[in-house]
Amino acid sequence: MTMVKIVGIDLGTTNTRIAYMEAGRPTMIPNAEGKRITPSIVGITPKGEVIVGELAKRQAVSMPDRTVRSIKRKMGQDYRVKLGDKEYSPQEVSAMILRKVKQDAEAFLGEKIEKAVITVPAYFNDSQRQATKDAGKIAGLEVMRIINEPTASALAYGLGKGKEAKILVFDLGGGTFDVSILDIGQDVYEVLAVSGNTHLGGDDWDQRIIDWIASEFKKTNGIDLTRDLAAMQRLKEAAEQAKNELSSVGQTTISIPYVTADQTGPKHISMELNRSRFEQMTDDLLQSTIGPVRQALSDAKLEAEQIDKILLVGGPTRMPMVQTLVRSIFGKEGDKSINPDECVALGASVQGAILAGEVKDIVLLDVTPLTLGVETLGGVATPLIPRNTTVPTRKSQIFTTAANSQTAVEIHVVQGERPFAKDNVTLGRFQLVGIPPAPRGIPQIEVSFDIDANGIVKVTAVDKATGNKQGITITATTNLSDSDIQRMVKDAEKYKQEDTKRRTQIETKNNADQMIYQGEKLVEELGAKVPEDLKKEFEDTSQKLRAAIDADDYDKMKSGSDALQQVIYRISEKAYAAGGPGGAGFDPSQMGGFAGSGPKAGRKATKKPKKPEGSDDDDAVDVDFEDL
Amino acid sequence: MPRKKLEDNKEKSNAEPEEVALDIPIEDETESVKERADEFFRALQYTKADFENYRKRMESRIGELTRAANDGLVLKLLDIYDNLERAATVDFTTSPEAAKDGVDAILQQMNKFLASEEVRPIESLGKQYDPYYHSSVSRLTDPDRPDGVVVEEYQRGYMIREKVLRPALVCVNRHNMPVVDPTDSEETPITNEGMKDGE
Repeated sequence: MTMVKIVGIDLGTTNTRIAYMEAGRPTMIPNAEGKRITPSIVGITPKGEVIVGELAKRQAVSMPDRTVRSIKRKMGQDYRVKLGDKEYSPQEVSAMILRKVKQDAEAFLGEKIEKAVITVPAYFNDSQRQATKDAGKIAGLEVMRIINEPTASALAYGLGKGKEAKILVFDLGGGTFDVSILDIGQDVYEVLAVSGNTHLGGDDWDQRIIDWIASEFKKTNGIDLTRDLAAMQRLKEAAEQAKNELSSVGQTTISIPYVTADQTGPKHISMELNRSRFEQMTDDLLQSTIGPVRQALSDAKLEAEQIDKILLVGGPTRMPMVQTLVRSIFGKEGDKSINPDECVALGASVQGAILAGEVKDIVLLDVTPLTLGVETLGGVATPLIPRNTTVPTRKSQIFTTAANSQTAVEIHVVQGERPFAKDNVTLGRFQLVGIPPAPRGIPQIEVSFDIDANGIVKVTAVDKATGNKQGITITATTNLSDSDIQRMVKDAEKYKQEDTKRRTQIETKNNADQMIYQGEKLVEELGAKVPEDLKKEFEDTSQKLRAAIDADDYDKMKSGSDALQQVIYRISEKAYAAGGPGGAGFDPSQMGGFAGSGPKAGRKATKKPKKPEGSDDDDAVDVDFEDL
Repeated sequence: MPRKKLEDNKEKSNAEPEEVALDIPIEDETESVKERADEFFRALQYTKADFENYRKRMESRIGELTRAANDGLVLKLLDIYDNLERAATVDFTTSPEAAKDGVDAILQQMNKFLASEEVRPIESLGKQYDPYYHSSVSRLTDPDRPDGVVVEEYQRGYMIREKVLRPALVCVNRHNMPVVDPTDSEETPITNEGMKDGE
C-alpha cells in the first residue's frame, strides 16, 4: 500500500470540497472552520491578505472590488479579474481556493499533500480542463488526473466494477444544473450526452421562499422588507432552513421575531409553509429540469427505460419533489444513498486511491446484510453479530441453561432484525449434549460465531466444564436477494411495536419463572429458619404465579411476581432476624428482566409450556441439526 | 535464499538426473511460503474488518456523546423556557411594568447561561472591518467617518471561547468604491455572458 495520499477535489462553481481515502473508505476532510464545504469565493483584504471561503463571503458586500465568486464560469477564458490593486487569471483565483483546501487538509491529516484528482463538468473543453490543471499546479498540487463530475459520482457509487450499465447523473447544485448520461463498460466511462442549465440551482428555490415571505409580510403589514438588508439576511437564513425542513416534514413554521418595527411597535414574522404550497410556488423551476433530461436522452439516443440507474447528486435533490419527478420520468427511484453534496468529491478520492494503487480487489471486504444471532429462552433472538458488521469477524458470548439438570441445549442460528427467532430466517440448528446436570444458570456454554471473508459462518458451542464441543458451518447466508434484505429490515420497523410488546411479555414470564426458582432456592437454603406460615404463604403465592404463567396471563404474572417478591422479602427479613446463614439475604431486585439482559439458551425441564413453534424435547440427546 | 537453492538444485539435477528427488524440500518451502502468505492475507483481512467495525462503533459512540453533550445544554435552557412560558401567560395590559420586569429577568438568566458557556459578544461599532469577526450585509459612503469602519450593527456577533460562533452582521463605510456598480452588491463581478452549456 502506498503511503502517498492522492486527494480528490470537487472544485465547484459555488462550493469546493475535498476528500481522501481512509483505510479503504472515501472520507470528507473538514476545513479549518470545521466545515466539509468551502464556498468557492476568494477575497483580498485591504491589508493584502488572501482570504478564501466563508471569510471571503463575509466581505463580498462591503468589498465587492476585492472579492470574486463563481470564477469557475471563467475557466479557460482569456479573462482577468481585478482584486484590489492586482489582476488575476481564473487559474490563479482557482489556485487560491485549491491552496486553502490543500492547506486545511494537510493540517487535518498531519501530512503533506502533493497530488490530487480534480473534477470538472463533463462539458468542459480542453482549454477549460487545462486551466483547471494549471490551477492545481499553481497551488502546489500535481494533478494526477482531471475527471468528469458525473464519472466521479459513478465511482463514489462503486459503479463500473466490470458491470456494464447506462447511468444518468442528475446533478442539481446550488447554482447549476447538469444532466449527464454515462455508458459504463469494463473500466471505461464514456460520456454519451450532457445537458443542463448553468443558471438553475437550489438557490432559486430559496429565493422563491424569500419572495413569498416578503410579499406576505407586505400584504399584512404594509412594510417592504426587501429594502432592509439586515432583515433580508434573516429571511434568507429562515428560507433555507424551511426548504431543508420541508424535505423531511410536511409543514414548517417560519418564525422571525422582531424582524422590523414601525410607529406601532415591533413586527414579527410567523408563517406556516407546507410542502404542497412550496411545491406549487416552485413548480416552474422543477419543470425546467425536464427539458435538459429529455435533451440528454435524445442526444444519447436512449429511451428513459434504457437507463439502468439514476444518480441524484447535489443537495437540492434531497427535495421530495425532485425525487418524484425523477420517478415519473424514469419509472424508477433515483439513487440517493450517498450524501448528494459530497458524492463528487468522494468519487474523486476513489479515483485518487486507484491511481495511488490503494484500491485493490484483494482486500475488499463485505458486510453482514442482516443480524446473526441465536434463539434464547422464550423464543427471543439474541443478536451476536449486528447487521452491517464488516467480515471476517469473530464473536462469542457465554450462555447458560434455563432449567435444573438440563443436559442439552439447542443452538438455533437465526438471521434477521426481528426480536423473535420465529420471525427471522433459520440458518441452522444443532444440539450440544452431555452437559453435567447442574442447577439452572450454572453451566457455561460459550457460543462462537466465526464469519470468514467469504461470508461462511461457523457456529460452535462449547461446554466450558467438559470441553464438549459441537458446531455447524453455514454457507448459504447470502442466498437472500437485496429485496429480501430490504423487506426484512422494513418488517422489523413495521412490527416494532408489536414485537416490543411481545418481548416485554416474554420478559415478564421469564422474570416470574426466575422469581419462583430463586424463592424456592432460598426457602430450601434457609430450611427451618423459615416460619411455617411464611413457607405456606410462599407456596400458595408461587403456585398462583405458576398458574398465571401456564395460562399466559401477563397481568396476573406481573401482580403475582410483585406479591411473591413481597413474600420473599419477608422471608429474608425473618431469616436475618434469626441470624441467617452467612448473610443469605436475597435481593429479588437483582433478578432483573433477564431475557433482555442475560440471555439463556435452552429449554425448560421442569415444565413444558406451550411453545410458539415446534419445540424440542428437553431430554433429547440426539445431535440433530440441519443446514439450510 | 530460496532462489539460491533452486539454482543449486537445477545444476545438480542437470548433472545427476537421479537426484531429482531433491525437488521435494523446495516444493515444501514454496508451500510453506504460500501458507505464510495466506496466513498474512487472512490476518490482513481480519485487521481491516476489525478496523472497519471499530470505526462503526466509534462513529455511533461519537453520535451518542454529541447528543449527550447537547442534553446538558438543553436542560439548562429548559429553566429559561419555563420562565418564558410564564411570561407569555401574563396579561401585558394590566401590569405592563411587572411583565417587562419578568422579561428582563429572563434576559438576565439567559446572559448568565451564555457567560457560563463562555459566550461573549463581539464589539463591532466603530471598529475596523475584519471579515473574521464581521459579515457585511451593506455598505455606505460617508466621508466624515473613517474608511473601512463598521458604522452599523444589524445583528450582534458572538465568540465562544476563542472561536467566532457567529459573526456580527454589519454595515461598512467605504470612502471610494471604484469600478464596481453599487447595485451589484449581492452578485459577483463575474458575469456569465459567453458561457456556453457545453462542447
